[in-house]
Amino acid sequence: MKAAAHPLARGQRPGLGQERAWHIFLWANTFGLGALFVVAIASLLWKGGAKATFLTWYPTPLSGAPGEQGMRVLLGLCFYGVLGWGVFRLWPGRARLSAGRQRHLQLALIALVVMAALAFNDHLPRFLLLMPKEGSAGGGVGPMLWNTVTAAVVSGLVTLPIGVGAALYLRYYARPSPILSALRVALDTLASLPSIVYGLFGFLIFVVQLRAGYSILAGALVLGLLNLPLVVSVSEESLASVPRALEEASLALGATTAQTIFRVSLPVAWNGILSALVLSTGRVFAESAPLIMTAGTTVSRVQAYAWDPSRGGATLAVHLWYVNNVGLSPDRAEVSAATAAVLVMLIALTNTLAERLRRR
Amino acid sequence: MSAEVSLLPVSSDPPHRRRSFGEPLARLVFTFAALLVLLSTLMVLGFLAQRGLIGLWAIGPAELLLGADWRPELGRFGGRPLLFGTAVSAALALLLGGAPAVLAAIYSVELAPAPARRAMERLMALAAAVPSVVYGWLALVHLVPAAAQVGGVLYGDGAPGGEGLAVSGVLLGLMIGPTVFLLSASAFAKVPKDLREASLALGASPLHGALYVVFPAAWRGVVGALLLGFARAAGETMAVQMVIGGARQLPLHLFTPTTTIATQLVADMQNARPGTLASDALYAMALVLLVFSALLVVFTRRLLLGGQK
Amino acid sequence: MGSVSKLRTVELTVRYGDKIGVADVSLEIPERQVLALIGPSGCGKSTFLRALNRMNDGAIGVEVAGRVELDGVDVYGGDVDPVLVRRRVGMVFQRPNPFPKSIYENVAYGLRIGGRQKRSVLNERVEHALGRAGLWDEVKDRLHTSGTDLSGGQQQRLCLARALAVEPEVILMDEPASALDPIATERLESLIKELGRSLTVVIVTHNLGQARRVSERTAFFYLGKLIEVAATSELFEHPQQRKTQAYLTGGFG
Repeated sequence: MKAAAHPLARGQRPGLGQERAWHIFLWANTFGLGALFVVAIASLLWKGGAKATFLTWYPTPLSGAPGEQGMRVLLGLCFYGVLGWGVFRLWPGRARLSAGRQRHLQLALIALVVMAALAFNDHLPRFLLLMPKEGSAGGGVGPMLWNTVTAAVVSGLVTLPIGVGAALYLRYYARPSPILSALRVALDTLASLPSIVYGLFGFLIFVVQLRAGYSILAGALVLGLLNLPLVVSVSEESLASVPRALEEASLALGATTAQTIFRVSLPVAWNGILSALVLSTGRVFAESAPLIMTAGTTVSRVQAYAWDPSRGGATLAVHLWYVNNVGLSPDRAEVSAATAAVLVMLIALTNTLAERLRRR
Repeated sequence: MSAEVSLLPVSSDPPHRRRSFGEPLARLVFTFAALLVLLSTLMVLGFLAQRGLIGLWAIGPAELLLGADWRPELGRFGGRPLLFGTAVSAALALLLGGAPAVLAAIYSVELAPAPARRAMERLMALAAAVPSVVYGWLALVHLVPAAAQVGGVLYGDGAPGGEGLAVSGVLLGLMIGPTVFLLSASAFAKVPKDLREASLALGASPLHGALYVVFPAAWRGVVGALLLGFARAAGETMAVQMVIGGARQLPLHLFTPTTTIATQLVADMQNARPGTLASDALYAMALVLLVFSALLVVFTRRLLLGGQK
Repeated sequence: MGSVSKLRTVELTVRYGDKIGVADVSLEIPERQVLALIGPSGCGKSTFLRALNRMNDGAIGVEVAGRVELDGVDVYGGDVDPVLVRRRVGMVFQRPNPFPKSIYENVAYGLRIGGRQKRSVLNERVEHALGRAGLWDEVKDRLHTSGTDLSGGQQQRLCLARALAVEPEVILMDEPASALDPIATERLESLIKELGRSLTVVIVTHNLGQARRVSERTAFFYLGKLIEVAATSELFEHPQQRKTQAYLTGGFG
């Protein structure tokens, strides 16, 4: 094969050395960046993952806060549910089963999850069940989980109707007018504000003007506002991707615009809109500054597991900050690692979910 | 976007139209939602501007922006250390995180095999969603001790704890890296395939095409990505607060503790009694941050829209 | 035929996944002539063309078997640098695709690839290439305006000038006139004929009249196979194969 070099052979192009150097540089840069994040995320899960996910053999005692048992069942449903779903997805034998069998298996798994949640809710990872501890070791993040969920639900309840409504207005009803351009500018402005500015606004309104003190409700409202531009733009995008022929077909049958929206456009665009909701939930999990200013950093024992959203309280992200900057617990390295691991797992979950919804 | 506003005929009048309240009601509800967005934006801007302008008026813009001494408890509101910390750490972030992210994006989109590109994009999407406090904590645990050593070697006793602009620059770089990567990768992916083929057909290597055709064709998107990254870095609060040291002084070098606008806002707000000058000064500072990031984003939008023509 | 083969394919087969785009095509492409490839759409002629200078390399799932010889060297040989192949075998695409750069930079792009060039040399070669593409007189006063501001026909000639600037030995054209108006098309056709005197040109076209006007030889493709190849006048007047005959008389298409 080693014939004399013909005119098309490799290695005789001018500037090849330089090109190779560029390639190596770019490759190293890309690989380095990727590896950095892989290592960071992996080390985090490594350090905190076990504490955050391993079930315990002995039951975790109740703290006595009202509503705690119900929370444990709820957490158990989520925890075992995710576990069961993962096993079901990853089990290689699944593909060989018929659709009916798969359905039966799913039902059996759901029943199993419910039973496990009812029976073994005291054996969940202790870290997820326990109260945080201020000055001593061994605290958990039970109330923080509940606060995070409350904040996510409330802010979703605010963002979804307003965001989707505004997107529908923009897509189907708006006509060029000063109001429309003002609305566009408003959305751009909202999207551009640093989150701390939202925090200050919430502080000013709820804590200073209304004298309502720190509350998760205030934090959730502020985060709902922060998420509005995202929800509006993603909803608008998914509405725009509804085939125009479908909508025209509905109109041609004599349906009004509103009927067309509810019967045709929204059902088609729904997955995209849900993905926006999921993404904004991820942002509620992740935000800290606005919540510190509106919902506070601490948890009251009595209200730890209350339904009332006007209680104050820290979410997971806020807790991570608090433990490192204010808290005095001697095991804060461990608590931080586990909290960070829980956060990253939650974010990974929401990201995957949003991605799936968008693909559908 | 605004060109195709009304897709459907707003008043479609079929001959056999039934009387229904649905249509006007739906219209009312959606318009109300849109007005609510508008109203809440005006409220955010109005309240902050009101307090902020009072502060600005009382202190004077020259003192607020240029004064070197920020001690609200003594009535000194010189914002230079805050502005300096914000600007330098965000600029460092752009240099340390933004630039590598852009290069990684062009490599992933143009030169890497498709599976590697997909893996990188997924990783970056995840990394972009990881909470900033998590990065802050990682930096606190890993970067601050390392910086203390480096600073110790460079400056001896002048760099006591390792906290300062160096660590916050690296941290912010890590934080904005994934976002910059995703935005610039999508800008590169939008460059038409035609142009790549034209370049290849002229006997240019894929690398040459990436650097001399794709990159110039996507420059608006890249600059937009970097500017948004800068805005995000300048507005980041809690993560920076964990590693910058929180000292209200102009730093001597990259390893001296200092502060940023956002950090100082959180630190001081809890202690400032509402209605006092100390509190209004903070709102004035927030106003500075707000105006700055709004300008940056508006400029970016303009830039990107200019490229669509 | 008389002239030497510049390019030659030997049992060339191109697959996309499990679909066959080009099946077992052996074709001689003589030097300094225009060869037209005709056939109904989807018959593999564009795929064949793109296989000649390895434009399909980056595409996922495309497999090439057989040989393409450029001056006797197999272009798909293991030690061949595809970039060098494309320097010698240029291509003009269906839609005009000038870079979003100035007219001058568009033409100079290929010249700058090998490294820095003297300004005067560059100027001269840009002028020469634009002249060969018949565009110099129209753009000489606005060389530094954007190439994308030209009209469609001018853009396509700019793309031709850009390809000519690197002085390839073969130029492949993939329906270069399909996006142009009749006058611009006529302009381009006369250019192609002229280029055929100094270069080897392979042009894919849907337009039978165009094939007839510009080419010396014509090859008819159908369902990925080469059905017939002959001198253009021969093929159009006395097609040997029934399928060719049917296609030329408009039986299908």
